[in-house]
Amino acid sequence: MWEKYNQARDSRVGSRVMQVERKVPGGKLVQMTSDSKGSIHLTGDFFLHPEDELNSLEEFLTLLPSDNNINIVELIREYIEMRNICMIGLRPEDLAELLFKVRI
Amino acid sequence: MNMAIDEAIAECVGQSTAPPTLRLYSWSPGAVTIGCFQSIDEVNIHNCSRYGIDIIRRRTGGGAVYHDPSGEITYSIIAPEHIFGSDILASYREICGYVIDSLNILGIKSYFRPVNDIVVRGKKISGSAQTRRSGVVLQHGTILLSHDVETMFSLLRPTAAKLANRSVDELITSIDSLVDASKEEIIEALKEGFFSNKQWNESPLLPEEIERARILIERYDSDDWTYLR
Repeated sequence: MWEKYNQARDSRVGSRVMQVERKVPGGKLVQMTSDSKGSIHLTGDFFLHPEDELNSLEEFLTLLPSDNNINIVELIREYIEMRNICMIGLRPEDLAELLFKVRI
Repeated sequence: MNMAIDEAIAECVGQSTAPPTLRLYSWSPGAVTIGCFQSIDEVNIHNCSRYGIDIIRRRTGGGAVYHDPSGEITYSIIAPEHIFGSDILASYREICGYVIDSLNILGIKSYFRPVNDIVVRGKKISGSAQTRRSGVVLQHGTILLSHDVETMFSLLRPTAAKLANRSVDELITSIDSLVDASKEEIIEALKEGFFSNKQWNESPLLPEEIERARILIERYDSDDWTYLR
């Protein structure tokens, strides 16, 4: 048990890990972590349908550039619509804000 | 085993080998379930191990829940998606509405608080979580019969952001704080609330549901799944 727990933590913890969390409108909590490789991970008590889409959403967020000239919110919204993802307790604006903060 | 049974029933409903199903159950031994997106850090693993409390990651989102063997009833409602429609938020409201009707039968006036809570005078008495897979809606939730704050806090680790500087007593309530009702009376009220104006019959799990649950439990018991995040 402890080996798996530590592995789960180690997959997110590296030489530098940034984590931000936010209680979003609707009362749900979302935490965004950027691990040592810059990969984005999301945890929290939000809902996302279909649930299996979370991994691909994380990969998409990881690949989004840090460019102030790009409308990140719109890109996230388009991705969610394209993948027919329904987020409850979490909005594209929340993800964009967390992405900005976690990459500071 | 409870989560495996829910999933097995959902598979059978999806295959039309089982009808839409309401399941009411308790947990023995007690357990902590966490939402499929939650970090395992939300649970005090050490205390769960110490007190013999199972930790189970659900296939539904939402938050961590301590299932007190004598402190709550869990419901699962499992039905083809067309019964509730494609609007997930509306289906939460509809299903929670059955619980509200049940509480009303007991003399408890409660309200739906979106997304997935039922509250009495602003305090949560029931929470729920839903998943939709292969054309089947599975929503499970808890109705608090009593609440043991000390044990809950020893097993769960809600963040400061989640509590927002409020005590647990300000956030939750339970049936025993509101009315005097036996567990049997509560179960009967739930049946009446869920099945009002519907034809239904009570039956044990189907052999294929039991058989499938015995296979599915391997995932819920696996550390790879439990410590996924």
